[in-house]
Amino acid sequence: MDSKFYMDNFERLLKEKSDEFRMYPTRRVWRSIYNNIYPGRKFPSALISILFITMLPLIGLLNTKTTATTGNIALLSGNKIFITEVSQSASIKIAANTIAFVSSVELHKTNVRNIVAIIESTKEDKEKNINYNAANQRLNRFSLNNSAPKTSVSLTAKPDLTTNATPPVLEDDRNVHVINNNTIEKNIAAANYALQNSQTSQKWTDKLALQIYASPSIIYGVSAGPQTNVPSIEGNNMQNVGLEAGTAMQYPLSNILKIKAGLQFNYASYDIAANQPGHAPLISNDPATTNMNILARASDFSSTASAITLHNEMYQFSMPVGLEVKLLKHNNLQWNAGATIQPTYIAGGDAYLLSSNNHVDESVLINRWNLNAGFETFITYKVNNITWQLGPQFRYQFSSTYGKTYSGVDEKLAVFGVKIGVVKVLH
Amino acid sequence: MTEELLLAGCLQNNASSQEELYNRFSPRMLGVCYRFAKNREDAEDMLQEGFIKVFTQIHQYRNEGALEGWIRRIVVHTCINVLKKNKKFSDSVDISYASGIHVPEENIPSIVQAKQVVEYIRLLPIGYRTVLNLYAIEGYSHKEIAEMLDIEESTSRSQYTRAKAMLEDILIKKKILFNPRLNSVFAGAVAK
Repeated sequence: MDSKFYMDNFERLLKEKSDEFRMYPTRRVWRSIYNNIYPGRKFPSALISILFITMLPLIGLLNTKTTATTGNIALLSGNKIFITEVSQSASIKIAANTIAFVSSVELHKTNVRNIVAIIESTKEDKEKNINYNAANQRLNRFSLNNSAPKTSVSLTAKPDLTTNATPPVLEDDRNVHVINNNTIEKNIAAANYALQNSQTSQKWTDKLALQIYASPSIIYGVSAGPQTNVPSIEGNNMQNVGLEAGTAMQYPLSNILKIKAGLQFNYASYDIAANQPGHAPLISNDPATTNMNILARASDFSSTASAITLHNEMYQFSMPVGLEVKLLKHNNLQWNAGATIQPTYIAGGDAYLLSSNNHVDESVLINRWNLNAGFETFITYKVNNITWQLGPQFRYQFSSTYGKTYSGVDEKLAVFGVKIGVVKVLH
Repeated sequence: MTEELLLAGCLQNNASSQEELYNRFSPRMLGVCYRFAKNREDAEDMLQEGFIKVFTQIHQYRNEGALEGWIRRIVVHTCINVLKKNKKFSDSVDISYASGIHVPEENIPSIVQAKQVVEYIRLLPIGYRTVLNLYAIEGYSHKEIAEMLDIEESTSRSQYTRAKAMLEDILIKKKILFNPRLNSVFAGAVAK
C-alpha cells in the first residue's frame, strides 16, 4: 500500500512542476485571436491593399496608349478665322459656311503638323437634312507628313462658335477621317478652313471631374441570434429610411473606365422589433462598474412574448473608392455602372443593444469602424458641361454594427436607394 | 498594470488591455494546453480558441476567485472539447498504447525540471494523461471528470490509477523517484 504521505507528495510534485512550466506562444496565435475578435479591422487594410495593387498594373496598361492631343483649331466663318482652344465633350454649332472641328486628334506616334479632316455624315444628319459634302469640298488641302498613318479618329466638339445662321447642333464623337497627302489630291477639294495641330498634351487636372450626389434610401437589416450561450433572440427585420450625400472626384483611365474617390455622409434611422419574454425581469447593465442590476418591471404586455420597438439612429462618414464603367452610349445619353469600397466611421447616434432580455443604450458597444460595399447603375444625360445622373444603388455593410463582446447579436445593414448626381469636368 | 485595470480595459473592448492580458497569462496557459495536446501546434490552437472564449465571455467573470483561475478553467474546458472532438477516451486504446511505451533507465538521479515532468506526463496515453491532468494537477474530482469526458466515474478512477502507476514507473527509471515500496521520499535533487 502506498502511504498517504507519498501519494500526496507525488501529486504535489506533479502540480508544482506543472505550474512552474511555461511555454511562449508564437505571434501567430495573438494575430489569430485579434482577427477573430475584430474581424472588421483586418478587411479594410487587406481589401484596400488588393485594390491598389490591382489598380497599379491596370493604370499602367491603360496609360500605355498614345495620349490624345488637343490643339488649336481654326474655325472659319465667312472670311474670318477664329482660333480657339478646344476641349473634350462639348457641343458645337455649325454655321452655314463653317466647318466645325473637334479636339483630341489621335495621331499614332507621329508629329503631324497638318492634317485634313473630312466630317462624316451620320444617319441623324441625313434625317435632319444635314450633310457636309459642300463643307468637305471647301476643305483646305494641307500637305501631310508622309509618315502620318491613315486613321479614323473620334473627336469631340468645340463649343460656342459665333455664327450668323442658325446652325444645327453637331453631336459628340463624330467620325472624322484623317487622310494623307495622296488621298487629298484625289478626293478632297480645298475648303475654307485651317487646322493647326500642336502636340499640346492635356494636363491630367483637365480630366478631373467633380461629382456631387444625394441618395434617399430604405434600410434593411438582419439581426442574427447570438453566438454564445446567451438565450436566443428572434431575428429582426428592420426597414426604415436613410440618406446618403457626398462628393467625389473622378478621373478617366480610359474611354470607358473611370476611377473615383470621395467623401460621403450617411444617415440611418430604423426601428428594431425586439421580442421580450413575458416573465423575465428588466436588467440594467452599468458599463462603469460592470454590475448588472435587476429592476422590477412593470410591463404593458401580456405574459406571452411580445415585441417592443426600439428606434436606432446612426451618423456615419465614409470614403468611397471605386470604379465606374461606361456600358452603352447614345448621343448625350449614357448607361454606366459602378462599384465602390467604403471604409466607414460611425460618428454618433443612438444605438440600442439587444442582449438577452436587456435593452441598453450603450453607444460604446458599437463597432466604430466598419466596411461597406456599394454597387450602382445609372443613366446620365449631358447638357453643355454638366452631366446629370440618376439610378438605383445598393450598399451592404460587411461587419456587424455591434461589437461581439457584449451583444452576441450580428446586425448588418443593407441600404437600397436612388442616387441623383451632377458631374462637371474641372478645367 | 494591475489586474483590475486590465479587466476594466478588457470589458471596454480595449485591444491593448486584451493584448496585455494575453501576454501575461498565455505562457502558463500554453503550458496547460501542452500537457493535453499531441504537439505544440495543437497546443497553440487550443490556446487560441481558449483566449477567444476568454475575451468573448469576460463580462461573465464575477470576481469570485482569481482571474487566472477563471481563465485556466476556460482553457482546460477548451482543451477537453478539442480532445473530445478528435478522440474517444477508451480503456482498450490506452492499454494497448501504454504497453508500447519504453523509457530508458537512468543511472544517475537528476534534478527535476518542470519541463521534464511535463514531457513525461505527455508520454502517457491520451486517456490516462487527460485524467491525470484533470485530477492530480487541475484538481477536478472523479465525478466532474466523468461528466466532462462522458465516461463512467469508475473509468476515471481506474484510468487515474493506471496513469499514476505508469508515471511513477517512468520517474523511477529516470531516477527522479525512488521505488515507493522501499522509500517514500523523492530523489534528493528535487529543485525548489
